[in-house]
Amino acid sequence: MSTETLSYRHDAFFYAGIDEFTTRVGKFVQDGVVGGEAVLVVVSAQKIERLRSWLGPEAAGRVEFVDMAEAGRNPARIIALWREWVDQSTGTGRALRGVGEPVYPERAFEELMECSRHEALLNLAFDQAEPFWLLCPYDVSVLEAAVVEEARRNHPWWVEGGERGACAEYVEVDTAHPFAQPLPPMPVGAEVVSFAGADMRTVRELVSRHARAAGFSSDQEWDLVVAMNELATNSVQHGGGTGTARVWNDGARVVCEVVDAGLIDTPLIGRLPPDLSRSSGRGLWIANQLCDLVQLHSGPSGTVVRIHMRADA
Amino acid sequence: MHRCCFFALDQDFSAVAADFLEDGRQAGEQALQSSEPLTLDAFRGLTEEALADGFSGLRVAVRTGRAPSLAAELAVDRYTAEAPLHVLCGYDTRAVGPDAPADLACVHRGAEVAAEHEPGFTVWSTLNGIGLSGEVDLSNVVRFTAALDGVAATAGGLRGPFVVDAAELEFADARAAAALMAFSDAMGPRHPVEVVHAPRSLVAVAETLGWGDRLRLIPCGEAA
Repeated sequence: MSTETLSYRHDAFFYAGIDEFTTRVGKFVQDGVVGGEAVLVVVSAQKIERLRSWLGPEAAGRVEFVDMAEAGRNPARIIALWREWVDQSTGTGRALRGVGEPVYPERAFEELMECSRHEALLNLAFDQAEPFWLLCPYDVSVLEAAVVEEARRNHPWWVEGGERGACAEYVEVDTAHPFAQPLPPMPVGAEVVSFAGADMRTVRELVSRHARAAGFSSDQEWDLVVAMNELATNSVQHGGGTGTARVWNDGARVVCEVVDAGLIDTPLIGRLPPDLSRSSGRGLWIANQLCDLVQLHSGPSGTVVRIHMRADA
Repeated sequence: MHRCCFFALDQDFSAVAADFLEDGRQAGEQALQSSEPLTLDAFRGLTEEALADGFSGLRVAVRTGRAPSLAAELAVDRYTAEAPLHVLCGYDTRAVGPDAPADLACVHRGAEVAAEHEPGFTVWSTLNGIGLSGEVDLSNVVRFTAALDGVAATAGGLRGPFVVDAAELEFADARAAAALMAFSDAMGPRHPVEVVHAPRSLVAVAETLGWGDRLRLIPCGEAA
C-alpha cells in the first residue's frame, strides 16, 4: 500500500481485527506523511486512538483525524466532508491520502444500505485526475459476508494482506437511474396526510406530534420538522405539485417519508452543498444535514424520500 | 398602536371606530376621523399639533376604499412605534380588492381577517427594527418578501444595527431564510441586520446552508 498515487483511487481494504487495521492502515498513513502528502483519517474514535499511538506524536500531528461516528452518522454527509478537504488541500500541490471507514457492524440494515450507496457514489464524486488515494477499511472478522461482497461491487480496487487487485465484481453507478433500488416496505400503521400548495402546516403538525411522542428534544423536533417541510416543499415545486407524507415511530426512531410523482436522477443530489443562487437541491441537502439517515428511491412511478431520526441519549 | 379592520357595511366600521376613538379620549388623546389615507407627513404634523394643544397623543380612525402600498403602511407603523400616535385603518372590502386583506393584515399586528385571507405572519415596527410573528413557508413567502422590501424602503432613518425580533416567529423555512438574507444584504453595512430570538427552524436552515456569515442569528434563549 505504499505506492504513490497520481490519480483518484478508491480502494476497499479488507482486514481482520483491530491489530491488522492498526498496522496496515498505520503504515498507509505513515507512508503518506513521509511522502509529504496531506492525510485525513475518518474512522471510529477508538481506531483514531490506536493509530495515534502507532504513529507516534510527530507523525500523528501531521494527520487530520475525524470521528466517523459523528461526521458520518448519516453516510450521505461524508462525500461533502471529503470534497471540502480535497478542495482545501488541492491548492497546496500535495498528493492526498484518505482513510474512511463508514461500514462497521453496529450499523443498522438501512444504514448499511446507504453506506453502500455512499461508497458507490464516491466513484463519481472526484475527478479521475485528482491525486487522491482513498482507502476504505472493511473488517472481515466482524462484518457479514454480504456486506463484504457489497464492498467488492462498489470499489474498483481491493487491497488485502499486502496484495492489490481490481474488483472483478465492481459495478459502475447507473447514472441514468441512480436511485432505482426500492426501499424496504414501510410498516402497517403509518400516519398519512396528503398535501398540496399551502398545506405545509399539516405536514409540520404531523411530524411534530410524532417527534414529541418519541421524546425528542425541542431542537430535534424542529430539525425533523424543517427537513420534512423542505422535502414536502420540493414535492410541490418539483414533484408534480402534490404529495403524501407518512410518519411512523420505529422503536426509538421516528421515520418520515414524502412520496410524489417527480423523478430524481442526479446521483450526487443532496450530498454536496447546494448553489446559493438556486433554490433546487436544498431540500435533500438540509435533510441530510439534519437527519440520522436519508433514503431515496426514484423511478418512473415517482419518488420516495425517507428520513430517520433517533432521540438523543 | 397601528391596527386595522375590514368592513363591508359602513355601520360595522362606525361601531369599531367609535370604540377605538373613545378609548383615546379616555386616555387624554385627541380623536380624529379621516375618510382618506393620510401621508406620513400628515400624521406627523397632526400628532405634533395634538401634543402642542396639550393632548397626550393622537388617535385617528381612517376609513378608506384605497389600499396603500406596504411601504406606506410600514412608514406609518414605524412612526407609531416612535410617537404617541394610534391609528385604526378601516378598509372597505367592497373596494380594496381581493388580495388586499392578506396584504394589509401582514403589516397590522393583531388584525382580524377571514381564514382565507390569513397572511400567516405579521411584520411590525419597533424602535430599532421590526418584530415578526407567525409562520413563513412556500405558501406566503412572496408576501413576506414584499413586506421586507417595504421595511427596507422605510428604515433609512434608523441608526446602527437593525434588529429583527423573531421571538413570536414560530417557523421559517429555507425560502424565508433566503428572504431575510436578501433583506440583510439590502440594508447594507450601515444597518447590519441582527435576528434575535431566532427560532430553531431558522437557525437550522441557515446553519445547514452555510448562510451564517450573511445572516446574523441569535437563537432563542441566547442573549442578544
